[in-house]
Amino acid sequence: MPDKMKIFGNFSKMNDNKEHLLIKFKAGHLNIDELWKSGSLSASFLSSFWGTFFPSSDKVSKAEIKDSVRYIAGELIGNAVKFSSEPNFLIKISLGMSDNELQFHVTNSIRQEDASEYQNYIQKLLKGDPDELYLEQMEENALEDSEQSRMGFLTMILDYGAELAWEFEEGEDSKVMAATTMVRLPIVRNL
Amino acid sequence: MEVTGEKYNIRYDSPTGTIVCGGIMDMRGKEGYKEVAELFEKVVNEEPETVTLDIRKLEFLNSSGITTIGAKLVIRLRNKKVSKLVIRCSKAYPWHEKSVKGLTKLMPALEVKFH
Repeated sequence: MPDKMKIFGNFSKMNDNKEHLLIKFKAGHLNIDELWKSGSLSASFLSSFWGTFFPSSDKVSKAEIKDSVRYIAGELIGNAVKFSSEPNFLIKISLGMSDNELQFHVTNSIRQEDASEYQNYIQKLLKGDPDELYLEQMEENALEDSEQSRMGFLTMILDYGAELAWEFEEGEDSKVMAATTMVRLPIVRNL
Repeated sequence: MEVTGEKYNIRYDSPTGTIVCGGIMDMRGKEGYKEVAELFEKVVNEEPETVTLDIRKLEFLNSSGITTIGAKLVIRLRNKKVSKLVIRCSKAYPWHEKSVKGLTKLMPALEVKFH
């Protein structure tokens, strides 16, 4: 692994040879509310697409796939938009099937200084007990002064049985990194 | 009492203590849920005997929305120890069962009804 790369969890790159949908966009000069709206549309499109064409099985219904994709894609795109620091960086979201799981990959730019705080949180998330973290985080959110809810990843793990991994890569500008969040959503076993 | 957004609507009926949520709630962060949190605060302060949260027509709720319900309604009611809480869900939306499971952990006495 190159020095300028950091991996957390069971990460694998998007497989170009498998069926997938890929959306790429630049934050450009859109304000955060406009970006939020476009992110919400992308999540809703991915969800309608996979919900419609996903092969039905006795274990997982199309409605369930649609719900799960919308939730996870919405959270991931929301995070990407929130952390993005470079207007010209191409934000990418892909969703594809691989073996027995749906795989989401979302890439966005992140400032080096935000990345280290983010990585500390990722380590806490990967090592900790998600049930305990959920309770802890909710109690913290009940207090007025908490800033971030930090419930997105936790609910993906607990409610949807998702597995999360990350890749951070330093670019030419050492102050900015490319962060890719990967989510594996198992679809064969009953969720 | 009512809060209406672009894609959602929340009504509170004070005499019955019922909050009815419908539509798609995908607002951004705490700021996006400010009015919703304010409505919950009023409900908690009214101290109804039973608070019913009816989400049967709620098609979508993001993590900020789940957090607002958990932190600003469920935990507040639990801490106040005055009102009972009932959540009415629908089987038509598979996420209801998934998300409500977490909320139950915050307040074990919480009653969940599926329709």
